[in-house]
Amino acid sequence: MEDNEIIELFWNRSQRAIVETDGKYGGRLQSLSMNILHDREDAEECVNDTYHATWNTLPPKRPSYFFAYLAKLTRNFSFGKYDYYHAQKRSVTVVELSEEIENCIPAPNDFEQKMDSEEIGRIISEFLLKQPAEMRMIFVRRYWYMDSIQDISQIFRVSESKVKSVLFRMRNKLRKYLEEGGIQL
Amino acid sequence: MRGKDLLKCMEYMDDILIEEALNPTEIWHGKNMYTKSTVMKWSMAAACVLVVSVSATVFWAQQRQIYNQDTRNTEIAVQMDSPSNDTSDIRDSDDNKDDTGLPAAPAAEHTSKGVLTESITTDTDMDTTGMDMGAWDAVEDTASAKQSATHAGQDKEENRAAAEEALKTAYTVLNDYYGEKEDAVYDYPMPEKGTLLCYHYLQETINYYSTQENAADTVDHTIYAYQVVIDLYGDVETAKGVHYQELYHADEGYAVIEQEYRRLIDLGYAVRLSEDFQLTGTFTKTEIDTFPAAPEYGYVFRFESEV
Repeated sequence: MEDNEIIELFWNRSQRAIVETDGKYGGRLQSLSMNILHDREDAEECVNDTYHATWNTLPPKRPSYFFAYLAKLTRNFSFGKYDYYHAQKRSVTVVELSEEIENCIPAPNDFEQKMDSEEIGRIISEFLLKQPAEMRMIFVRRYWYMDSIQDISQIFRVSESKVKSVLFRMRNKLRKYLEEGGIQL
Repeated sequence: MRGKDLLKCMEYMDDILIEEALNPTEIWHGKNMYTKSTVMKWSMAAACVLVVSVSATVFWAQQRQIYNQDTRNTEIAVQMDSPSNDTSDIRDSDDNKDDTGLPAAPAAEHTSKGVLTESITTDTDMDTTGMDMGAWDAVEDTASAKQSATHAGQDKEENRAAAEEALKTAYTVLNDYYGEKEDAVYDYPMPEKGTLLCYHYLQETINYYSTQENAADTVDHTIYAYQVVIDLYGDVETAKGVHYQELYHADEGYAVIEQEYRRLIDLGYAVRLSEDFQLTGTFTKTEIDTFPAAPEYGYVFRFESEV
């Protein structure tokens, strides 16, 4: 079923909307949540929260990119749960990714402007859209979908060292881009 | 802000990017298939352009030779038919420009100069068919302006030599692929120790321009140089043992990169080292072909846009 048909089901308040959404995107949402939480039950709970939130927000919303809409909700719920459960004990994946992505944060400077999260997200998107498609997809798979290096190398059929190299260069580019824009994170 | 906060900020990433990365495998294979046809298409287009360029070059060179031959014959004929007019013209010109005011000597001198000029023209015609048209015109203009001077022959010869030398030593620096890039990622092996690996787009560009140089070597003296990023690979000692890897990724590698940078500088290569220890340089094809790779390191040469 096409996304707009599923959205139409939500608008018509049909219970089938959830079934269709789960059938089409359930696995991917579960996998995204698992990448953050590493716990099947928690991941399922986050996906269910996603369906619930979608049910409550469609209508009035009618997202242009339905999967992105769902995935953002799942990611958000997963990070919320992560923060709740792992206040003391941090997940290995999140720690690893946090350390990696920290390389993108420019050194503080008096002339730089502080940005809010939404603005930073917009600037990162702007940066990525200027990059070659394959590079930005690898970046997004790593830092948005939080896939492992091994998974990415399998998905893109390139070596792990290639993936690492691409990510390394992309992080450096992003840092430079933020520095040149005088942006403080 | 910490790394985790930045990860969370990604929540606000553009939906297009998220959707795009949703099914990379499909896109990838689609692109690979597309890439093959794209490669074919561009190869054929490049071949056509090459054929047209070579034909045009050969045609132009022949036309130029015919034209110069005709001009030379006409000039010789005019000189033979009316030598007195010729010398008087030159003398008139000399009278305007020469302060020595010697009336008789210049006539004899210019008669011989005329022959000398002719001989220069002939020589130049023979060996400058490969010169850039605009540059050649400039040389001709300059030479004709000086033709009436006392030391016109010498000046012209010097001027011609200087212009040719300037054209021969001028080079064009290329810092990116000459065509439209394909939508594909090339997965390269690590370069073996003591070897140099050129990435795809750099190699393609070198091939393209060297073909041009060879095909049009009688037309254009331009030497092409390539602005490249050099990735250095070597052994790095870690807790798990010695690993052969890209030195740029290892803190221990910075000293080696700097050492290699100094070695290349000493050898006379135009290399630079950035603050973050990225080695770059400007190399001609010959320099790349004869690059003195150290036996303990592997080298990757690539355009900056290639990763």
